[in-house]
Amino acid sequence: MKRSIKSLSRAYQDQTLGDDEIKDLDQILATDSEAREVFMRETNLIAALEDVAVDESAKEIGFFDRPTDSHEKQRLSKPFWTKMAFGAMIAASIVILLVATVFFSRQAEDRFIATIVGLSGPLQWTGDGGQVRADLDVGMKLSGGTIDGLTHDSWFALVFRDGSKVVISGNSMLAFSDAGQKKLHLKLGTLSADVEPQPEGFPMLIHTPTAVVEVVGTSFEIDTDLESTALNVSKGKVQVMRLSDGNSVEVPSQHQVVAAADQDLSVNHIPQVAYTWRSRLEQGPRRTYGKWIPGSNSVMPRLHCIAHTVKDTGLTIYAVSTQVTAADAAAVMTNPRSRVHVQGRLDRESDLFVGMTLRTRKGEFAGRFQVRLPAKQLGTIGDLDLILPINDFKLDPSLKSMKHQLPDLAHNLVVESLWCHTLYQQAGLSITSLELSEREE
Amino acid sequence: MNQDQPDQQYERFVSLFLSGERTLRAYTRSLLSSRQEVDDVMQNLGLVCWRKFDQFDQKGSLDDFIRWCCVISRFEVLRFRRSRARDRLILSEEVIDLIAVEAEDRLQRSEAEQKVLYNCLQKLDDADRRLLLSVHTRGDSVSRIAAESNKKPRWLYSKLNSLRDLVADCVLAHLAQGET
Repeated sequence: MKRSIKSLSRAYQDQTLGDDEIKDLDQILATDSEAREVFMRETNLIAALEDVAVDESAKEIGFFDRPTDSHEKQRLSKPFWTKMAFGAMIAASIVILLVATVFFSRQAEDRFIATIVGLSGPLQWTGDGGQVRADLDVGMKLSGGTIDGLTHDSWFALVFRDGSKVVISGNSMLAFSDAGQKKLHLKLGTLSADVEPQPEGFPMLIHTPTAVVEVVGTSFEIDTDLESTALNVSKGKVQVMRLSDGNSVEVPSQHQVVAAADQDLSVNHIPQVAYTWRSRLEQGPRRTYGKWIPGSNSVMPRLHCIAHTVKDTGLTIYAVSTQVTAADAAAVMTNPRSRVHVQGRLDRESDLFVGMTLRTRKGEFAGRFQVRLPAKQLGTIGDLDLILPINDFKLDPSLKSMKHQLPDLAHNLVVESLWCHTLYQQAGLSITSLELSEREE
Repeated sequence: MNQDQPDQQYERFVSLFLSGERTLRAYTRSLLSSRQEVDDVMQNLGLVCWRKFDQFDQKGSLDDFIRWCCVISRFEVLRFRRSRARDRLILSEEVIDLIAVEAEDRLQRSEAEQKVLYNCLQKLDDADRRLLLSVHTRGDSVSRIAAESNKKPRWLYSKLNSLRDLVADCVLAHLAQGET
């Protein structure tokens, strides 16, 4: 016979539930709001009884020595002096905690190597000892570790103690440390950096799956995946060593190089910026986020959305995205005539969000701009073929707190990625093409 | 931290935290399965709240402060839960999230329940009161009471459950009458 929610709740608090009963309880709580109310009421009862028990114990071990007879003890369930003693205990413990905080924070200060100066979207930091945190905040000091940008709209900026700044965006993974020499491991994604002059003999080293980048002090951007590392240097110079053969080149200001086993390690001028770009899903899923489905004679290759639940809010986003900063191309920029062309499919009625993640030419995060297309406006479900002028793109409301630091318009900025998503429900979003083009004059 | 007025910041934080500590504790308790776990989380919660205190709206009320701390507590609990992911005695993260949100909505109700509970406990005689609290009191236990009173533990556990029902019903009845 199944136990009642009350019985399960009490047994849970008494820690006498078996594995199967825990699963039962979990399932009931996940689906039944009345059961959750009973659970919370029962838990609250236990919590209050525990408090009373602690108060009573405090009395017995002499936190106050006011004599009481049994009658008075019965009458006063929570004597004034007990409250005072309890309060004093808490106050003492808080004071100790705060003093300890100040003391340890000075020691800990030495361990911190970098401070978060900007962030947006789902991120996860894995620090010393495997500590995992998703509740990151601007101003938080970090003692090294790994930052994961979990979705296309993730963005993270870090400043080291010497003022060197590193920014990652999109689906990225960066491990960083500084024990006298800054060592970064960019396993995936895009990184831009503005590096202060480093101590002689201790350049900043950035390891990627295909190269090691040595930086003395400069501004640059790296885009990496398993097969290649593209480096654009905007200021200063950077040494790059290709791992496949150990060959090195020096990349001066306004030059770029791609380090990949199957390409020449040649240094080229950063070409003029481009204002048009198109995804090429027929070439595979490189630098995309989504489930790539190859095409056939009759069907175009497409990118199906992937669900991601944001832990902070419980919000589930069904998204596809593609990076626009291709390894062997110039920066792709917007201008007032830009427009985004989306082709794909939506199988169920849903609001659709189309957006772009932008940065300045210096590599600074410039925001996410998006268009929300209400289900009614999209009309009948099925094939999507949308052309959206740049002026329709507005700053993502979740960046409201940074509004004053970001451009008002999506013009004249470098496009880092283009993306589409639906919220709350799986609406069967898939994309066959994303394109940035210019309207004719 | 606000370096301009660190003393006032500190005093205000301590005042708010002390005032809200019991409510916060009860809230945190609703997300965890034992008092020991709550102790672990609460120890860190005070520190984290203090470190982030400059992000709290300084014009905010005690209620605002408690709700702000509840959000931090929720994350602390989830982090704690992840560190105990192999422990079989834990609910899923989704359920903890659901309860966290709803527990925040019923903070006032929970506080009222706790206040009324103290009154309800007065209606018990010493023996019943001791039995009810024995499972939460260090050094006491149902088996100890069984040995002292020559009663079967099974009977005492059944009695304990009845006492919990009695107190829970008393709390509900008082709240239904509008008494807090």
